[in-house]
Amino acid sequence: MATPGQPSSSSNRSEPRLSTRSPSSAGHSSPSTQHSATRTLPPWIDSYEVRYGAPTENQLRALSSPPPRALPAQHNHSPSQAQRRVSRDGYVYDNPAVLGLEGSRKSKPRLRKFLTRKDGSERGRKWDHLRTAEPVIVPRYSRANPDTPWRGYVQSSRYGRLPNEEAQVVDPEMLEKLQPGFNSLVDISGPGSAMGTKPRRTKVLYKRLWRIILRHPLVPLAFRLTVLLTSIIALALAVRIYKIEHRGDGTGSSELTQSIVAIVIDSVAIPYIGYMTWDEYTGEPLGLRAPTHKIALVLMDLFFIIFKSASTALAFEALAYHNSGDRETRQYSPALAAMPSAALPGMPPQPARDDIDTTWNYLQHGVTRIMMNLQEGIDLQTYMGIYTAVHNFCTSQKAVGFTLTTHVIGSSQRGAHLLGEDLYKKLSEYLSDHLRGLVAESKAHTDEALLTFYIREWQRYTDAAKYIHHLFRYLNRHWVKREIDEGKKNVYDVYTLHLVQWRDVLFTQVASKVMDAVLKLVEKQRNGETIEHSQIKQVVDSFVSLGLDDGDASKTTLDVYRFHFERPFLEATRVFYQNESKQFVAENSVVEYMKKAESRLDEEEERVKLYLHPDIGISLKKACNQVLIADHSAILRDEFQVLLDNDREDDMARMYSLLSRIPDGLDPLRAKFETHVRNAGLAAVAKVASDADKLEPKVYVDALLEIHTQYQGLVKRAFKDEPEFTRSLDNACREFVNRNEVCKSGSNKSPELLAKYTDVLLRKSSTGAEDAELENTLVQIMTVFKYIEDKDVFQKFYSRMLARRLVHSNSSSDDAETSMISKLKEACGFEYTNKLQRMFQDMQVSKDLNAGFREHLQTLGTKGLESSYSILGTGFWPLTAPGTNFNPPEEVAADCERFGRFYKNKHEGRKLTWLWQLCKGEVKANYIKSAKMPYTFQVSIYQMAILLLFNEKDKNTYEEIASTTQLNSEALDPSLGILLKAKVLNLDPGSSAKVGAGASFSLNYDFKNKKYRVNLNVGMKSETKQEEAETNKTIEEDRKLLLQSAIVRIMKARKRMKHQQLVSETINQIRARFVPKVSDIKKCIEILLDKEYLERLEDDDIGYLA
Amino acid sequence: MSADKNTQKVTLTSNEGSTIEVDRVVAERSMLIKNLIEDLGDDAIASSPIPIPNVNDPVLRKVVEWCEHHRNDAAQSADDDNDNRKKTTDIDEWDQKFMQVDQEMLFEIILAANYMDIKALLDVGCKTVANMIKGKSPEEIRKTFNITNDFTAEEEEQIRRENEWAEDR
Repeated sequence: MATPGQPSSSSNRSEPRLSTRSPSSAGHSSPSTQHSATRTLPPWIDSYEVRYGAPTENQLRALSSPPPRALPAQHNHSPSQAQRRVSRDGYVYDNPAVLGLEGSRKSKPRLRKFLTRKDGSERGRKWDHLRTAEPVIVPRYSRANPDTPWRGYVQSSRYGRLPNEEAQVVDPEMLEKLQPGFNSLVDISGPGSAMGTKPRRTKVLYKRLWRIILRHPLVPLAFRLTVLLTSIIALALAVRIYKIEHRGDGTGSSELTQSIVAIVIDSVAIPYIGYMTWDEYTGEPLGLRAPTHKIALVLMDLFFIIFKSASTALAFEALAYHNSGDRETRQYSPALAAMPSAALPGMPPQPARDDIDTTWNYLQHGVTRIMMNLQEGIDLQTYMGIYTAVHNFCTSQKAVGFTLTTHVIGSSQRGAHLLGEDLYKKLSEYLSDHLRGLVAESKAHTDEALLTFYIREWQRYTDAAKYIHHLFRYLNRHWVKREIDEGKKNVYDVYTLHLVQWRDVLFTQVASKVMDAVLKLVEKQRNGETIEHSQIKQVVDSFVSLGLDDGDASKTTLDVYRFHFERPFLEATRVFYQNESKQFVAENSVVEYMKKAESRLDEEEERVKLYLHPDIGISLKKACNQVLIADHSAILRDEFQVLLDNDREDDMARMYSLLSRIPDGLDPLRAKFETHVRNAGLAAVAKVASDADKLEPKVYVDALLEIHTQYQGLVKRAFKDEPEFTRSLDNACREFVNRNEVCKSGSNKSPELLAKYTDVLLRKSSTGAEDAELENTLVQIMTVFKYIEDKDVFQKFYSRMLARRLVHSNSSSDDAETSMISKLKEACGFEYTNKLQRMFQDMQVSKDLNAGFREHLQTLGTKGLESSYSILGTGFWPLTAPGTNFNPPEEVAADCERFGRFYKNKHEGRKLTWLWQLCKGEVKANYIKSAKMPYTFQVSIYQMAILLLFNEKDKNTYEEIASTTQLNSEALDPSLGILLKAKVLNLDPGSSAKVGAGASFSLNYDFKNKKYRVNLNVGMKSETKQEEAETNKTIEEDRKLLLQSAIVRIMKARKRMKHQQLVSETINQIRARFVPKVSDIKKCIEILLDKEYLERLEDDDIGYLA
Repeated sequence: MSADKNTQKVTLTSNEGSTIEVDRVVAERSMLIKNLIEDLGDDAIASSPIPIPNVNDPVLRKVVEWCEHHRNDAAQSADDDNDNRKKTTDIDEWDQKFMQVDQEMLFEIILAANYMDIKALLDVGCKTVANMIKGKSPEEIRKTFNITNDFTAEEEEQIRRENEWAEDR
């Protein structure tokens, strides 16, 4: 088995071939003279030999590439001389009729062919309509072997393979297996099968005979000749009778009439028959002639028949009634009567000569019925009849060979083309006629009636088109497909043809009127009337389906729809709403207008869904937005301020949704909103900030929160939480949180107040708020916190207060504390809350440590105080060592000593610093006689030290106290002051009246109080004030450090930077904490330069020194 | 619906007037009939037979036989062009047997398939004919199809000469 594409070895089966391989054989000199000579060399090969003679050996050797493609592609519009038409499968049409070259040689070959060919069909073209062909492609590669210059060409010009085809050359055995008996010869006289019985054979024979009689082109000629012959005989007889009668002179006048009529008719008939015969075989097919010509022919035949009948009738009459005449006459009369009677049935069957017309008449009848009366339905017979008629017409060989004799003989392969074309043209003409009728009819209608009319006709037309498409499927499958494959423009399948005709004939005429009606209808609806949607929907559908792509019939475009429907529709919409909105705005309030516009926009959207094509949606929306909103946006925006002032949330929401539809519609609103919120915030703060110093943190924060909550709600409800609006809100809030009346003195006020408020919330002493409520409040605090710019200030205050809460262990709950810290961590990151967390941890560790210490004491067996110690990491706590010396009382000192040892034992190398000012304790007063129960005093360690002195003696002087406790006056005086105030101690009358040097104190044995537990450890106002000031001071310091460290970090990474750049980078880094001043940054840079961390380079550059 | 389709019967009438009753799905292998039923509706075909005026009785029976066998094939789409035409030799066994008829019948079947628009059958028929031609010399082809050679000796020689380049060597 050979591989595909290779010449197979099957040639041993074929006939012996001629051995002349040289192309210069004798036959080639002549073919140009005899055009119709059989020639199978493909036409696209321009024969080299014909032009230049045989190539020499050298030329053949030099020929390294296939011969050039000599003929240009054939196009209808190609200006060159028409060439032989080449079918795509390579068949050459050598008939001049196809090429329009008839003029030159006409009669001779035609006559020859007419006589030689029985059948009009060209050999080998019978199955033309079933053929698919691949165009031949000649590759341009060069070939190595000069000996066989044609081989590559041969291979390339074989019929190409079908896509997906896998072919192989097979042996005859294989073929035998695939198609048993493929090789057996067919014997027509006795078919190979077992059915070759005699009746069957006769039946076949009979059928064949019938076919020959019906189809043979000479049959009509035979009929004509019969008529001619009888006419001549009749003429002779009539002349003979006339002579006899004339001789008889007078009496047989009736025979005379008969013979005269016969003579006249026959003498006209003979040339007439001659002409008709000539015309039949040489004239144009009837379908292509002018209508008058057609009618003339038909009438001629008709008159011929009438006169012939008349003559026959006369002859019979003479035969029947006038038998009195002379014998000779009587002898001829029957013959004369017989001749025309023989001639009459010999009249040729007229319809057969005119296939296209009869076929078409039949088809037209059917098509008209489908067009006009489809609802009545068509019966199976008609349906199949029409289909069969189309089929038979397209495949008919007879039609070609028989009637289109003259110029089609010899080129009948054209039949499939021409006939299909005729039918197609007829159909196309019929459609345009039909549609023209509809156009005329449509003129009678206007508006809604026109719409109804249009829709009805469209429906009917398309329904019919579907039917006809199916009925003409055969035409579609073959002729139309072929034409389209050959790249002809303006040939469509039958259904598309219907649409094209509708578009070209009817649509162009009525489209604008239909559109007017549609627009009127829509306007009616807009004015509140109810209309029938389906009508418009159908019109839209019809417009859409008319969008045929000229390039590719199978695709549709929306062009027609866009041009004829969308454009006017949008225009009308625009005009309508322009007018309406103008009027409405003039007569109504803006709020009313917004409502109206909103409902209108919804309506339009609904309309698109209801009965328009979705394609229009966007542009319609755009148009409406432009007319209804953008054109009035100025008024709307002006109204916004009013709405804000009056808190008209719904209306604002409406305005938002309207303006959000147009580009850049919301920007002015945002600006207005931002200003409004800022002003509101400032006003709220101003209200509470009448006295900045006494300002309650809670009141201040609540005021801020209230404004924020209010406008956040507005953003959420009216502006759909749009990010841009949220940003405006944030901007406004940041503005009024950081720069308001309260902060006039310094921007630290806001974070300070916020931290204080937090402290109030988290302290145990505050009103026991519910956990959930507390959590909520914390969340709110965080919202304010987010707006604060100086976050470091908050941190400072917060940590200080947290430290106090932890040390005094009066925090309300650990959970709340951790939740707050985690919130801060979330907002500002790990670094920000690091210290806070460590403080928390320290407290935990201390708890464990205390437990361990107590156990340790128990094992030792020593009994100490009920003490608890907190170990605070130095770096994390915002606490400083006491500003005074202190000598703790003995009891306490002993315990501290023990703990100190215990701790050192545990953690080697750590140094403990006692923060005495934060220590506190309780003492029991057993000395007061009047009390049933001993009082318990909650005191600071300083106070405790003072009180314990009175265990020794009842009176102590100021100097004694001071020397024993080692306290300086700043710590001692306030402690004593509180004890005096609470009347625990009495100032001796003898000494000086003020606490200070020279005063002496005695224990008050008559102390009385409602509670048994008396808190004497009260912080002093001046102390907190001082603390605040201190904090503020440290803030400045810390900021400087922060800035410097940021600068160093940046420079370490960059090594070298412009001054300007460095400043902006620093601002970027530090902004999360606070908003630095440029001057501060510059100062810090100077400091760093001085410290030689940085160096100044040329060009304003700054370099990093490691 | 589909069950309905499977059981529904359709009556076909050949040009000689004899009728054949087939299932609707079978008949719908022919695009002609499929379209017809689509257009005219179920009622029309239920009440009266469908005339097939271009096909005679034995051929129609043969075509129906083929359709019966291929009733479950994928329905042919509107225009699946030459895409899924397979290699020429690829005719399935049943179809080969089916096509073992005398030439007259074979061509009648092809004509009927063309007329009734049964693409698959048309393809099978044409492939069969192609197989009959394949690998034969002109003389053999003439014998096979009973074609008389009406070329003159000169004509024939000229054709040979011009086609010499295409011959196998």
